[in-house]
Amino acid sequence: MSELTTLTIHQLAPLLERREVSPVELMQETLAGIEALDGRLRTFITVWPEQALADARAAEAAIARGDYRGPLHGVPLSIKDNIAVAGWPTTNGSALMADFVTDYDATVVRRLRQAGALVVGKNNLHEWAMGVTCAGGPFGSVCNPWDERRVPGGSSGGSAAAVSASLVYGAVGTDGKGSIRIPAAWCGIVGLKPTYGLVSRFGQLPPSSSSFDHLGPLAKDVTDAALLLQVLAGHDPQDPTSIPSASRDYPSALVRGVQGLRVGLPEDFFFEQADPEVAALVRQAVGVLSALGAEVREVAIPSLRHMPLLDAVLSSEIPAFLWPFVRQGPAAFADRTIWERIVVGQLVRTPDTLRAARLRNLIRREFLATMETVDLLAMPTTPTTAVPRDTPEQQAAMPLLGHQSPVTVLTVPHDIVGMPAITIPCGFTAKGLPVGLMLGGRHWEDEVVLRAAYAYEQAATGGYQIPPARRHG
Amino acid sequence: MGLSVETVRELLRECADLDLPPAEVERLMPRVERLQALMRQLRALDLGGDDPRTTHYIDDRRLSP
Repeated sequence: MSELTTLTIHQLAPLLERREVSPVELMQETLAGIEALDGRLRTFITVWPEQALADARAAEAAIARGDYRGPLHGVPLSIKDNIAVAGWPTTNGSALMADFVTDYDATVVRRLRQAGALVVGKNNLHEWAMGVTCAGGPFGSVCNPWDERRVPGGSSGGSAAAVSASLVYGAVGTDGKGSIRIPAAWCGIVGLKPTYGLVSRFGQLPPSSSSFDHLGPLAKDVTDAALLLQVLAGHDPQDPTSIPSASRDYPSALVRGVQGLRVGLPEDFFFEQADPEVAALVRQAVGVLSALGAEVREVAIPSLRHMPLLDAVLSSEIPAFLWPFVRQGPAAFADRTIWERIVVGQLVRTPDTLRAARLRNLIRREFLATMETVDLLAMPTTPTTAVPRDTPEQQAAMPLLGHQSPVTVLTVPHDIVGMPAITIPCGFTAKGLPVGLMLGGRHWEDEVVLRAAYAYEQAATGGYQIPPARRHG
Repeated sequence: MGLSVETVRELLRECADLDLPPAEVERLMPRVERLQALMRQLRALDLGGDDPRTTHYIDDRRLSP
């Protein structure tokens, strides 16, 4: 496998633009990497080499005639398999949709293609994007590139593991309870859940929870996340929740530093629930931000302690679309607990759902008030590192109705309030497992989140690190 | 008092048009009980704004996004 595949997008782009690297060679190297490693890691459900190579040849011809479209031109990326790619199956990680093919691209895919990016394949995920382990599904259990005996996190686990292992340069995932940020943290890469309404969800099939779901990038480093967001962001009339907003230059904003930014530490909720080793690494990372000129202060968001009660909202929102599948019985689901959660969700009464909506608004108001006193929140992305597969720890990671998953508890708040949040690697535990620092910002201030993440990355980690699965092949 | 297996089975049949065998409903019961406990907690929360005489649309937090 070539060194080229372990580069980041921003390292690769100038080589492609100057025609020192051919998109066709790059695609061949990418496909060779997938061929060599994905039998073990199982990060992909579909790879279409012929189509990917044809697209690479078209990109090469376009660049040769001077039609260079920007830093994603000729770059191999992947798409989570609950997002439509024309002509390819969109399985949702379920055997029930194994043959479902659209004749259109999701908006995010269309935007990536317009920017010249090359879609290599569709990534494995937790069945129906409703879990954090990506284990035991019909398309195989995804392995964590940092320790293949462990799960990658989820539900965008295939996407995160593929980016981490340098099988692709970046990916697009979905995040309703942390599904971009959790696997990104556990696989040692960057994952961004943008502001609600910034990135179109047209082509995410089926919707699982409209008021929680977001689409966003998984990337090797912060600069790549900014480059991807630059292309993904923008109003789309095909998504009724897409919100028109001023266009922004995310990559250019990265270098502005954190001098004078006010960073809040929500000690009462986020740190209390984290393993001491995780919390210590995140505190160290906050110390770096402070040394760079950020003003760090404690903040409190007391209503967050009631957050598990909001499961009622999710429980009653999901079945609308999955009910036809639920009627086929539990045997139709590889993960029986998903069927159980949806069926029991039928017993939620409307007055309780409305009460949960009020609670959500209370949490949102507290968040908004807190974000008037600080520019960013800094906290652990997950309470633990990646859990071992096929163990009681894996079982405990799955959400139970009314008992929030211990894995999603720190990521859900930013889905509830719709504010942007990024995870970036901030070190390793004694077992060599990556830990994520999460930075959350105000609505529509995704560039502030990216800019602080970039400042930290430059000062502390230097960016993307190659995991053992890739180093040792 | 909690819901019985037969009551849950009847509710699913009547409200969700889902006819499950009693053994299947039995397996769901731990989740049903957790849900009931959750709803009790939710109802017990003081969220404010409960007085119909003084609540205006601007204060109504049920449906606003």
